[in-house]
Parts: sequence; C-alpha cells; structure tokens
Amino acid sequence: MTDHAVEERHGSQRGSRPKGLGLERKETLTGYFCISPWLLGMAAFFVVPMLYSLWLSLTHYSGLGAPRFAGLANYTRMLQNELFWTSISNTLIYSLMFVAPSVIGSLLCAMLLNQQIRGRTFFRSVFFLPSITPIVAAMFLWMWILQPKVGLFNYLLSIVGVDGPGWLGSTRWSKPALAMISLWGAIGGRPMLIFLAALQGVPNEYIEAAEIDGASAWRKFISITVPIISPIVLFNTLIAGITALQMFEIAYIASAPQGQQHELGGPGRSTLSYVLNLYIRTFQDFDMGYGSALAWFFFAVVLLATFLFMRSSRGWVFYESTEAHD
Amino acid sequence: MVSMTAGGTLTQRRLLPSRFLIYAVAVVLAVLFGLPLLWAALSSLKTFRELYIFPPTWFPEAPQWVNYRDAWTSAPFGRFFINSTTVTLLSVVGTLLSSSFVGYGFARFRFPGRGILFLIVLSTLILPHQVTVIPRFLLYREFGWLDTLLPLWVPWFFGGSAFGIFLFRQFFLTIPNDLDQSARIDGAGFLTIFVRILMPLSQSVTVSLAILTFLASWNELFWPIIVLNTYEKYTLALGLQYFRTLATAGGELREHLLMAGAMMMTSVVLVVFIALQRYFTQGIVLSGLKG
Repeated sequence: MTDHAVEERHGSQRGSRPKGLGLERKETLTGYFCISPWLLGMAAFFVVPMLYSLWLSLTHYSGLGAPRFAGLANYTRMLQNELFWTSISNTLIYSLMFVAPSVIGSLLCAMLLNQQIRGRTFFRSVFFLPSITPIVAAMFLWMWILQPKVGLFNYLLSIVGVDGPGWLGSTRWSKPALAMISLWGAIGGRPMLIFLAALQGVPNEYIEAAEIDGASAWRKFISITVPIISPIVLFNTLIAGITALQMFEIAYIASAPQGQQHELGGPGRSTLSYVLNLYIRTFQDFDMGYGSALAWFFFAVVLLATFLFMRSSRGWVFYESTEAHD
Repeated sequence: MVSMTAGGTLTQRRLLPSRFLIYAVAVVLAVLFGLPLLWAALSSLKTFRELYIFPPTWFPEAPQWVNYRDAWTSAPFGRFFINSTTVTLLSVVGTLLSSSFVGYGFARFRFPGRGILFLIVLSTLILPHQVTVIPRFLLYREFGWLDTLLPLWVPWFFGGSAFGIFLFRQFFLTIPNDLDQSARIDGAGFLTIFVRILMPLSQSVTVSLAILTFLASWNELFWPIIVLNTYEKYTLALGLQYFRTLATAGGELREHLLMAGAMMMTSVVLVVFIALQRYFTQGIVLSGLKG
C-alpha cells in the first residue's frame, strides 16, 4: 500500500518535469548502470547456471571430460530409484513435523510477548537466542543432550518414568529428533518477531469494541486477530515450508561419518533428505547429470507447490484493503 | 471515556488470576529455549570423564578452562577464525555496497523493464537455490576458485542479496525525491546524491542488513562443504564439523573439547547480538513485513 503511494508520488513528480529525449535516455542508462552488479551476478550465478543444469540433466557427466547426451535417461532412472523415493518421503515427513508446529509455536510465543508482562525484552532475547546459534554448534549440543545413554533429555524422561528412545541413532526417532532440534532454533526466531510486529499492529479499537460486546479472549483471537494477521501467517508458513523442504545441514552433521560407523543420511537412510541425496549423488558419486535432474525436479516441484499454496491462500487470507469497503 | 474504563476493569478482573499463568508459561518457555545453551556452556568446562557420568551433573566439579586452550591448539582454530572473519567481513561489505547501489537504481530511475526485473529480484528470495549448485560448482572450478574462499564472498558483490536490494529500495522510496532534486539543481551527479544524501540517511537499514549478512555468512555451512577441501581453508563451521570427526575418530579422548569449540564459535554471535540488539530485531522485522 504505502509502497504504491510513494512510488506514484515519485512517478508523478518525474512525469511533471519537462524532459527531453536526452534526459530520458540518460536516466535509463544511469538506472541500468546502478543495477548492473545485480544483472551481472544474476546472469553468472543464476540464469546461466540454471540453463546449464537443465542441459546437464539430459546428459551423463562425471565432472571430467565432456557431458554425453542421454535424453531423459536420468529422469527415468530417478523415478525408478528407491533412494529418490526414500528421500522424498523423509523430506515430507520431516516437513510435516516441522511446518505447523513452528508457525503455531512462533505465533503463540509472539502472543505471549505481546502481553503486558515484566521482563518482556529479557524473554524475547532468550526465545530468540537459539535462532542465531550456528547450526554446527546447535547440533553438537543437541547430539549430547539427546545421547541415548548419558544424555540430559533421556535422563529427564527417566525421572518421569519414561524410557527414552535412541533419538538420532534410531531409524524411528531420528526424524522427530531433527524436527525437534529445528523447532528449537526456529520458533523464537524471525517468524516470532514478524508475528510480534504484526500483533502490535492490530488496532486497539477493534479489541476494545469486542470487549464491550462481551467477547471472550478466544472469540477476540479468532474474529479479530487471526484475520488481520492472516497475510503474515501465509508468509511465515510459506517460508517455513520452503526451508523444511531444503533441509540439509542438520542431517549432514547428524549423520556425518565418525570413525567409519555411520553413513550420510543414516541411520538406515532415515535422515536422507532430498537435498542430502542430491549432494551424495553429485559430490560423492560424481553423477552430475543425474544430480542435475534431481535439482531440476526439485525446483519444479517447489515452484509448483508455492504456486498452489498461494492460490489456495485466497480462500483464507484476509486483505484489509479489499474488504474494508463493506 | 466511560466505555474505556468499563473495558479496563473488565480486562483487569479477568486477567488477575491468569496473570500468574502468563508468567509461568513465559518462564517454562525461557527454560526450554535457554537451558540447552546454558547446558552447553557448562558442559564445555567439564572433563572427558564427567561428560559420561550418569545421571548427568549440571555443574562441572572444577571448571576446566583449559578445554578452550586445548581445543584451540588441537585443531587449526586460529586459521578457521581468520578464514571465517575474512569471508564474513567481505560478504558484509559486498552486500552493503551492491544492495544499496542496486536498490538506488530501482528506487530512483525509470528504465524499461524495471518492474519485471524487480519482480525477478523478489522471486529469487523464495526460489530454491539447489538447482544452481552443480553448474556453480563447475563454474568455480573453471575459474580456479575451488578450495579457495572466493566462492563464499564474491557473489555478494554482485547483488547476491536479493533481500538487501529489496530493503534498500523500499527505504529509498520513503526518502522524499525533493532532496535529490535540489541537490541536482546544485549540480550534484547521481553518484554524489547517492553517497552524500541517501546513504547517510540509511544508517539503520545499513546496520540491520550488515547484521543479517554477518549471521548468514558466519553460520554458513552449505557452500563450504561443497567448495573447500583442505582444512587450512576451512571456515569455522566446517572446521568444527571436521574437528568432530577427528575427536571421535579414536585415539585421544577429545570429545569434551567439541563443546568448547562450539562455544567459541557461538560466543562471537552472542557478543554481536548483545552489542547491537536493537538493530537485530529491527532488521528482522523489516525483512518480514513486506516480503
């Protein structure tokens, strides 16, 4: 909204200025000159690589010699490959365990911080700290806490009489463990702060009017807060989903070989995420044509999912500007 | 006025009992978020034997500050620190320079294709980048950049931060164009206007973006895994990961040094966070509202 207003004002000022062809041409050139670093970077690190990887996905290429054209062989091999499907199901299961809890958790934390409580800044900082902890450091500390025999977590569980599982060492619990670690690092981070800013933008008059009508806290939340912050929910959910689908680092660290007793994506392929599979096929097996096919498939799917998600959001996201006229 | 007071008492009456609940929840959450970090800090001062005690103890019997020295000397951590610092500083400088300049171009000049190009900037914010990994790897190999730090910072000088471009462009749009106009009448060129007028007004955006880039770059693990081979070139993130394979590879018992290493890396982030807390949240909130 404000962008448009500013832009229009800006535009009309420019338009009202008498300008000759020379001036206009000069402005065009200056504009292109200013954005030229991005144009160069975009071409070199994005557009050309993308097209090149599309070509590579149609070839056999080990990284040495010349790529040999192979048609759609990589794609058909991919669809018949068991690891491909394992990695997809791992990624989806992990995403399901991550996305909704992270968005809801962030919102609840933000609502808590939106209350008039003492020490708000302190709480906000403590909630926020995990999100800036380097992933490697976070993984080290969690791998210790989740250590099955002497770890803190299973010890605390044993106090309440629960026999803790093997977590990262168990094929059944490794994905929940990774999701839990990610949630620890995600809930109090950026999405929470964005929600908090949005909640502070909910007009007080609405809340007060509802209170006078005797609305319960739950009713106020559902009828006032949720519609107003729904675009932010959409944004945070989209980002959480895309982040979850690209999961790589935590699985890499959790399953990195130590003393030759583990393999990447282990135990038993239970943490083999899509991107981890892509990494192994490309940089350990040097199957770069196949890796490119995996990359392009991923790109297409994420693009499609984003599109469908945005589409479906029209039903549940409330935009103030369009409905304010009612 | 009447309605205000009525609303006030109503709220107070209902909230008094739940006030306690709110604090209780806040404290529980603070424990969930904060305790693992505290645990890591305390563990970093334990001996190897203490790590394997069951039930686990909270406080080390005698704080082993020597762990930090031992960790530092048992892997080339000094080297890793220098590498990470180099990459991070250059990434921050590159991001600030290129994003502000490109943002200036998008905010202040009209040129054919401006709208669509800016849409492309925005779309790169959410596009998954894995699709470019393999060709970029091949490109870096062509340049002779593999096993150097170059791939980790050079792209930032070429508008690598779509978010930075977006942030600066939005901010410049809020600065009245009259300022540019009057400077232009005084004979200032577009570079002078950018350097002398717009940038000095953009301190908060600049600091916020610097912090976000610092975090991303300091914590980056993906590209170091792909392009770095020899450990003298490793950044801290990759170096720590490598240190773990060493520490658990058998022979000397060094697992207790891992936590000390992890704390060293984290402490840099903590110091920056404490020093610049105000800008931290500001930058992150800016990033969400219009994204």
